[in-house]
Amino acid sequence: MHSSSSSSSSVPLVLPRAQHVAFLRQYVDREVTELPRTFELWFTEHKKISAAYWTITALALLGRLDVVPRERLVDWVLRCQHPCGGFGGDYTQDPHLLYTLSAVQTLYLLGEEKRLDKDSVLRYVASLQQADGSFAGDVWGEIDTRFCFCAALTLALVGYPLRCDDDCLSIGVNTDQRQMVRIQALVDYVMQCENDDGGFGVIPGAESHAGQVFCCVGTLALCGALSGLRDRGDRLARWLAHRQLRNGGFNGRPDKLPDVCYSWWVLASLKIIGKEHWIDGDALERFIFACHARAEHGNEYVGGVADRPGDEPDVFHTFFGLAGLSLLGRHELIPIDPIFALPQGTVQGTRTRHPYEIPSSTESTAANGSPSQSSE
Amino acid sequence: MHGIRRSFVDSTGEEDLYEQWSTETRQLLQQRRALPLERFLECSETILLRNPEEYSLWNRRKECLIEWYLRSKSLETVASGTLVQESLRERCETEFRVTEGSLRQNPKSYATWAHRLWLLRSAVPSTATGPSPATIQRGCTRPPWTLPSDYAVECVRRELVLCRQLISLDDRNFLGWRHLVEVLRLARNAGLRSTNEVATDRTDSVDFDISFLFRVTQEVLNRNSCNYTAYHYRSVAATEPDNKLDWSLELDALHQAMYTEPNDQSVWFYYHWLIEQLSGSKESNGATLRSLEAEVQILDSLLELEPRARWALEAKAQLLVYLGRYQEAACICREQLASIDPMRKHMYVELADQYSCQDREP
Repeated sequence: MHSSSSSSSSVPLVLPRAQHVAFLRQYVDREVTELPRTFELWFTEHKKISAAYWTITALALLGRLDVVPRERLVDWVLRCQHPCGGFGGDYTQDPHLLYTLSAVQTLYLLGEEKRLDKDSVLRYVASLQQADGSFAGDVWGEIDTRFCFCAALTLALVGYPLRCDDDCLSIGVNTDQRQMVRIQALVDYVMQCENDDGGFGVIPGAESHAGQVFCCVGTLALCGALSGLRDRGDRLARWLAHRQLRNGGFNGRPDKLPDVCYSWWVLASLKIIGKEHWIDGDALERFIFACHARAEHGNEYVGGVADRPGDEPDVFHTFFGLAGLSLLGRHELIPIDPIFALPQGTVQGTRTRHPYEIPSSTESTAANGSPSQSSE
Repeated sequence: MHGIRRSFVDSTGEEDLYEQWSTETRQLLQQRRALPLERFLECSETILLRNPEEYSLWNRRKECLIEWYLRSKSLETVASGTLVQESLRERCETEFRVTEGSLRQNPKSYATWAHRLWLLRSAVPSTATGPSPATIQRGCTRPPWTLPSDYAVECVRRELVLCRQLISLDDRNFLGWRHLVEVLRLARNAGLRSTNEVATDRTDSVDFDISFLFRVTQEVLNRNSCNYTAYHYRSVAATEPDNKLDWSLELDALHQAMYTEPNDQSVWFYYHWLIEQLSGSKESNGATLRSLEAEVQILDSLLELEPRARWALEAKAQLLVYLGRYQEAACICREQLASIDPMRKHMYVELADQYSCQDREP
């Protein structure tokens, strides 16, 4: 163990499980039509389905999916699907890839994927691929590497094979509506977004950003194309490792403030390329605990995690804080899959259909005979 | 929430406000395809200024514009043709005004930037058949009209000025920078050229090519030489065919920043990039080697003053790798960096192993 930090040592590293569950239950116990009475709920009304996914995945990591009102939730999720196959952020909202992924993730997590019309989802996703291989977020053509990942992961979850060698697989049972997904073109597009610092941006040429890095690396992993990373991923891993600040938290770009959500974007990316030991896990753990909400008087945790110490907790950062701790393998949380962002158990079957290779450690360091894992 | 301090204050008034706002938004969403066009545009403006991420409302505004355009087109006569063009311009101006208002409050709204870019795509002529009245809700990635070129030039110019302005307010706004790059690409695809080069003095002029991106990075770096974003876009612009970058001037400016800000990684990122370009002039001729050696000496004198400057040490290790001096590079990683920067100890040790290993290869 290295004692490498000057950060507040007074933070007890004991996960307040019951408090977190109580905090998350406030969100699932509401009727979906209930009016918001906080800034958070009002501001996230248009992406309620993503908020639902964060909430129940956080509960799943705590082993408490039993508190989720399953029937009500699934009915509502299915109500958000449009005839085109895509899902809106709520049933009043237009379809979009972001919410289609959240909906599909939610249904798989609850084991209710049988109720999903997979063909219509496939057709929707396929219809959004552009000539250059990228994916638009919806029919209005916004381009962003986040949508490449939404497309790839949605396809992977519903069982579409993502192999570069089989280009132009056709999908859809009905020949009139046959659509193609061009996997190699998708990979080529994502690689165009790789920068000289090893990171990835929103579009080709845009500045590296840890959130976009996660989306691009996740897409490449699902397509079995990680071997295309520069310097076998070392350049990217270095950029990612430098996101960790002295207080243990990660920022999303150089010279920015740390934020709990990057515990996920950065650490999951490192894990996908097999370099999670390039950062200080103990320091990250301390930072995540420092972001736990505390009582006004006294120091005890009240449930929920904020973006940084002293800020208001919300469901988004609670999910990413718990996901980060789960990736670190601590506090007996259910292990989370770094690409699917779902409990490993949920995606086991899917994973075997999409075996992605992790280059680096096995290839580059095995070659020079040094064990890559930490020697502590 | 992002950046919201925990206040412990019970703000009852606010709670009612969110309920009221939300009721209004939900009602408008439900009626969005039934309301008359002007009424919807008016109501959605109010709501989008409160929360610009209500994306379905932006979408409906697009549908309204298309509906109006197709209807006007179908009624158009030779005489009314210019009138349609004029009203189209007015309607676009409304969208630019509303989105600008929204961005000034919330410069990081993805949905607002996307709405603006959708409008701007009509600056590029297209031969594609647009939507019909029956297919409007199936969307289209660009408007079904093409802007007249004088208006398109005006729009692009305004866009570049807006980006420059928002970047001067927040020089790390990655959506603003991204938009700037997109608009420059779009102007190139549309074959649009700035018409005002002769009109005003240099500081106010706007060129529709990569030199404008350079200029904005320069303005930002003049204010503060530590800006990762600006260095990134400089490196991107420099790889465009018509770049005007003087490498030795770039390095000279950077040497100064390295001395004044040895702990800022943005400066070192750009330094890494420049020495990679330098070493990449692959002939590994004598001149290249000599300049790389000179850089090592510059770093050595910096390290004499600041022996624990980790970015300088990382850069030196990289230079030594380019020079084939792998053992020295490995030594810096293992002996110095791993102890100066213990959080990333495993990374440095692994890199050191790799360098040592490369040395053994022929």
